[in-house]
Amino acid sequence: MRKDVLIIGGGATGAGIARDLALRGVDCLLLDMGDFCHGASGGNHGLLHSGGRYVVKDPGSAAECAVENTVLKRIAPFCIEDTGGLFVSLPEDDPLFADRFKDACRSTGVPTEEIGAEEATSSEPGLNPLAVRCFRVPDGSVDPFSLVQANICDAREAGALALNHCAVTGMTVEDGRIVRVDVQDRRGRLSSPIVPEVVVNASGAWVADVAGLAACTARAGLDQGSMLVTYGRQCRHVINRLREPSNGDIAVPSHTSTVLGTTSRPARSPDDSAVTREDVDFLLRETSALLPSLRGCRIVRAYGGVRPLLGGNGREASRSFSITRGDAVDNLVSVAGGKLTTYRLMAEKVSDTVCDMLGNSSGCRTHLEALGPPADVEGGSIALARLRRKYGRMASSISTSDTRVICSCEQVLRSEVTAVLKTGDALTLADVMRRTRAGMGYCQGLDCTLSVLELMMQGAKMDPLLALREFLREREHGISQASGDQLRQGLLREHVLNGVYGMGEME
Amino acid sequence: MSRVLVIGNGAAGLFSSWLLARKGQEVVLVGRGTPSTSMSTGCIRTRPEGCEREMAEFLVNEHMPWAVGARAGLSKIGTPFRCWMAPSHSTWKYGEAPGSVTVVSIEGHPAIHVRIASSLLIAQGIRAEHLSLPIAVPPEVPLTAAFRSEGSWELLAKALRTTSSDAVLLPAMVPLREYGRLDALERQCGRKVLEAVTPLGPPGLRLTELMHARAAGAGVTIWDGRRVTALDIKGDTVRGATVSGGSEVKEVATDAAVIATGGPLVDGLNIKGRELDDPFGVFQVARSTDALRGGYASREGMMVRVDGRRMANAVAAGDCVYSERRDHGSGLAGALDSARMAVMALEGA
Amino acid sequence: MNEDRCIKCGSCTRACPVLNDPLGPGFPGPRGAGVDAPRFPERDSIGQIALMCTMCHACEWACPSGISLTLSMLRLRSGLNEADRLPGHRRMMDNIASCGRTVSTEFKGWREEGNRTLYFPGCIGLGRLTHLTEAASSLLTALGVSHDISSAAVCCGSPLLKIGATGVAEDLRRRNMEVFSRYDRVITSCPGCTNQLREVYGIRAEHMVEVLKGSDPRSKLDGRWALQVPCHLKRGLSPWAADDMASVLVAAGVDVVRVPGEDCCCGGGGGMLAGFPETSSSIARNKVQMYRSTGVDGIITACPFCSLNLGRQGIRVLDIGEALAPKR
Ligand SMILES: Cc1cc2nc3c(=O)[nH]c(=O)nc-3n(C[C@H](O)[C@H](O)[C@H](O)COP(=O)(O)OP(=O)(O)OC[C@H]3O[C@@H](n4cnc5c(N)ncnc54)[C@H](O)[C@@H]3O)c2cc1C
Ligand SMILES: Cc1cc2nc3c(=O)[nH]c(=O)nc-3n(C[C@H](O)[C@H](O)[C@H](O)COP(=O)(O)OP(=O)(O)OC[C@H]3O[C@@H](n4cnc5c(N)ncnc54)[C@H](O)[C@@H]3O)c2cc1C
Ligand code: SF4
Ligand code: SF4
Repeated sequence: MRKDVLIIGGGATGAGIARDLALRGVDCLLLDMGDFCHGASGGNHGLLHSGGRYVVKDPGSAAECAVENTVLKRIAPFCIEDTGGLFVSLPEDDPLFADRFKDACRSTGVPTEEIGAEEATSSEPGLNPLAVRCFRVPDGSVDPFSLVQANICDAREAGALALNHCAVTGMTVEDGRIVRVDVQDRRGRLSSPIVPEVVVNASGAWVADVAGLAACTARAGLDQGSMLVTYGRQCRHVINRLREPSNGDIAVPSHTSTVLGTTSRPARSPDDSAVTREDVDFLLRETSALLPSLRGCRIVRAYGGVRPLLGGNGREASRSFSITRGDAVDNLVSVAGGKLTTYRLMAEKVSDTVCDMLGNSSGCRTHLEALGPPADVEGGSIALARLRRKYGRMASSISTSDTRVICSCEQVLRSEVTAVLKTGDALTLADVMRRTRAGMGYCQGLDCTLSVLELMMQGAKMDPLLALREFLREREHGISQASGDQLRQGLLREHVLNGVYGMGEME
Repeated sequence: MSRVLVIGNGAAGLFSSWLLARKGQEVVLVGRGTPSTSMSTGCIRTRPEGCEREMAEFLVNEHMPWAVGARAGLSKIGTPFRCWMAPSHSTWKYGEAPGSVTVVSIEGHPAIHVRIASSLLIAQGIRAEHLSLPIAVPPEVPLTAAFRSEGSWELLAKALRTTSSDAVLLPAMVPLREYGRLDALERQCGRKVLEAVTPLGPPGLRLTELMHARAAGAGVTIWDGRRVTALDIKGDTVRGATVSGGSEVKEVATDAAVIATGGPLVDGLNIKGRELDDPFGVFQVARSTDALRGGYASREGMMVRVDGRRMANAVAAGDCVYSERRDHGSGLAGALDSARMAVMALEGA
Repeated sequence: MNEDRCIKCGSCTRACPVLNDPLGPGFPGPRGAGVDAPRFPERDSIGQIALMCTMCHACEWACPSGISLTLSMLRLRSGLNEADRLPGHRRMMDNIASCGRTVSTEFKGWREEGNRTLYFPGCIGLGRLTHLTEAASSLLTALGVSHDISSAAVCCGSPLLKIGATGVAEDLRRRNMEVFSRYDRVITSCPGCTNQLREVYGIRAEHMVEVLKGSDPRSKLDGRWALQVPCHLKRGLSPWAADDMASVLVAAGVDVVRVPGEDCCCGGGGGMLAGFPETSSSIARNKVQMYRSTGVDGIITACPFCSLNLGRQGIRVLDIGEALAPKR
């Protein structure tokens, strides 16, 4: 199959590139070995940075974030909650840092406003009353799943082909050019190798592995970060600790939860995302210094993500990104680093480079065109009110006459699952979950998984036990360090799934 | 001994109070909330060791006959389920599996998952057919409600006559007093009627209702919906308890106590962080980091205080007792066994 | 707030009379309304779902996690948009505005004699079921409890809390407290009132069953009678009082038949009778059918709402005050 551009990696960056190139009229193919968002784009904190977090140590990234923050709020309001953010220092924090922060915000263009502790606690009632200094910033909460889906949807409408569960397994290099790319399609849609003009390596933490297929090197350290999902929303704003960026600094309200994070440790591989018990206890302890109500709060799930880092280790490394052309190969462009917040900017720069190589002179339009106007869904139930937020423009493809709920934790409609299955993208239970949120709630799929699987089996032949085990095992990892009521939840799961249904026995 | 206070309304509490009442003891049973017994499949998975005869007698009733021995059945997703004692329509004799099964469902209702079940039946070498009943029941509404009317049962019988399998697999939807409907249906449609083995549904509720009725019938005073909030203990003796219900609180005196409050799932034991803890703040908990197997420690059958002292008139039974052998989804047999042991220990004391 | 303890065992949904009714109004169930709905930032749009509940507390009794599901739903109700108020509930509020009670007053036998005991029949006993009040009053007199029935006392406010009209309820409390200050003892027939007086007013009101327990009444009632054990008596006020209801009747010589499900909801509470009359009577119809199948001659209850709602299904329903009244 001939294609102008092959993009490897369907995270935010790859999806953004596909949209950008497609809008410029480039014929491109986007592949991901897992589902879209299978990497860091599905395992991050969901903070739409104002830039505040980086102003002191990494002003370059801060400035990028500040600009992209406003762009994304403009083009993709449906998947962003403009919660606003607070930077808050506590008595034990370095008092001088607040002033450095204030100055750096000014010089990097991150809008801030210092407010009194009283105003802060009145607009964020759960905040530690001992808060010393507080700044408002335009942080927000972004749903990475719907953001990436919207990019893919747009890219497809503009002519791009995007396939998930399709891994790039080999590349043939001749005369300093990649002439052939071998793929393994889990669903057999692609039967022949790809012959691309340009290959874009947007494979995130896998960037070195993919470059290696063309015998190129890409330098990136790997760093794991952990996050916790709370039961219910525990704050109204994004709450940041006002100190030198360290672990356990941030709480982001998102959908029905608040996400607490993050940590940082070297990762052995892109899949090394496991969360330890120490991470869980640490994050709860640190974030409850900001929001005391988090002490003893039920943690529904712990998850991790792996980020590629450019230069330096852990928190020292820059959060900016780099674009490199393959050392010995002419038509390979690798991109690594950056943030979810800056995905569009990265995509723009990569697409500029690619268009240069292709001799295409059209300019970038992704900052101008909305990621699809919000669909008109009005209705009485929570589920209906949520459709637009989750699906943006795609919401209009969901029938709202059938109001049966399939996942009550996240108020997912049965018709959402049906609509998602109709797109043909969702192959596994996790794929459905990423798109609909069914199974992301506090029971972690105990209640809805079987019903979702039953719907999936209406259209496709599949081994139900295999599908269940794969999904439930992954969910179990997320609650394996549970305490309190989530431990009771885990016990009920064990009784039902292993005890009665014998999931553990029928290997 | 004249009056025994039994705390906990699950299998262990109800069985021990029945045993005690049968021996002429005055028994007050206090219980709150839904016990795990009601969340179970209502099938006793392993053969109880010490109380097989008493248990069989305890479970005798006019509505729901039992089948005993090595039994096998199908869960509501079609996975195989083995047990020792089950309501007559839940299982077949092990080794006598039907060759073909019609799975009956109501589209979109989670009481049974027909496609998953059919696929897993085929994997076990059972031919599977599928019958979807043309009625609409919202997923959160229990099927028991939809199947209260004669009309819906007639519709079901008629539909089943058109199928050709050896057996039909029905979603669990009959309460205790209507169990006879399954016999009637079997006669009407001329093939074996199987009820899918279902957790968190009618079968567990049936079992508890049955045990409840048996205990009440034996003269046990049942204080339902009430909770023991504190125990009055002097030295090694429980002398009374504080019971709260509605907006009232009462103190009761007792000569002995059976503690059958269940595991952490039903708040029989508290969870502090990741450790199990005695809600009464009196007794020793063994293996406190294992939510499934951890529970009250005992010495020579009696409970042990935190300070190591052996109680003279308090015993524990069921899920709240430490047990190495308890496994996921099993436990009824263990609960009944330990109730019998607890009663014996009390008699010895 | 302890909704965060939910483990999704579904015990509450299996216990809920509204969810288990074939003519349910589309209620998402106690967990759906009490646990799931409050977690959503979009919850403004949930409109009336938290109103579709009889406040029978069956779910709360069933919950192994001890979650205060009805409190959670009451919280949602108190945030209800005025536009979402049900027509039946508007009528209740109009009645309050015009006569101080949720239904218009029909009762004529006021007794304002300066006694130290006040009999407080509640809105139904003064409006729809005045015979119930007359019987209870004559029973009290026969038992030697001389009492007033004051025309100045108004609705206790419990129904208004149930429909989310918190402000009105507070106003009624103030008016009643003035009346109550003239008495040493308040006796009610309605467990909803008893609860409200105890928990919101902080006065130790007595329910008729509690009065009867200590006074050894006799009954001349023939036939076999089943019990309708009121939700607000058993699960609201005191499960012991509910046990006493049966023992008082048995001791008085009534042939009482205990039937399983006697303590299930009649469908009349929580504002459902006015708000969702169809569901309310459907629940009552099914319950009465169950009673009929046992061959009893009628039902004895201890709550005017049960009397009203079950009585409409064409079966004999007596309040415990009527069952034990000297002459009927
Ligand atoms: C713990 C953590 C927290 C973070 N929090 C935030 C935050 O709050 N805000 C923010 O803005 N940013 C955050 N980030 C950064 C952000 O998540 C990433 O910058 C962004 O998601 C990177 O997207 P990507 O598309 O480059 O990489 P990825 O999302 O990792 O995508 C790479 C994709 O490539 C695919 N792939 C790999 N190899 C192959 C192959 N051979 N064939 C086909 N496909 C392949 C993978 O399956 C994967 O889906 C966080 C990162 C981490 C790790
Ligand atoms: C989903 C599920 C499926 C299962 N399936 C099976 C199966 O198929 N077969 C099998 O053999 N076993 C099964 N089990 C296990 C079995 O149900 C339990 O082991 C058994 O029911 C335990 O009985 P128990 O009487 O000890 O405790 P419970 O049945 O839990 O009863 C304890 C009761 O005491 C009450 N209580 C606690 N504290 C107090 C207090 N202070 N005052 C008053 N009351 C109190 C609790 O609320 C509870 O209602 C299953 C369990 C679950 C959760
Ligand atoms: S109080 Fe009664 S009617 Fe209301 S949700 Fe609970 S069980 Fe249902
Ligand atoms: S009974 Fe309690 S724990 Fe179970 S689902 Fe209902 S609210 Fe949740």
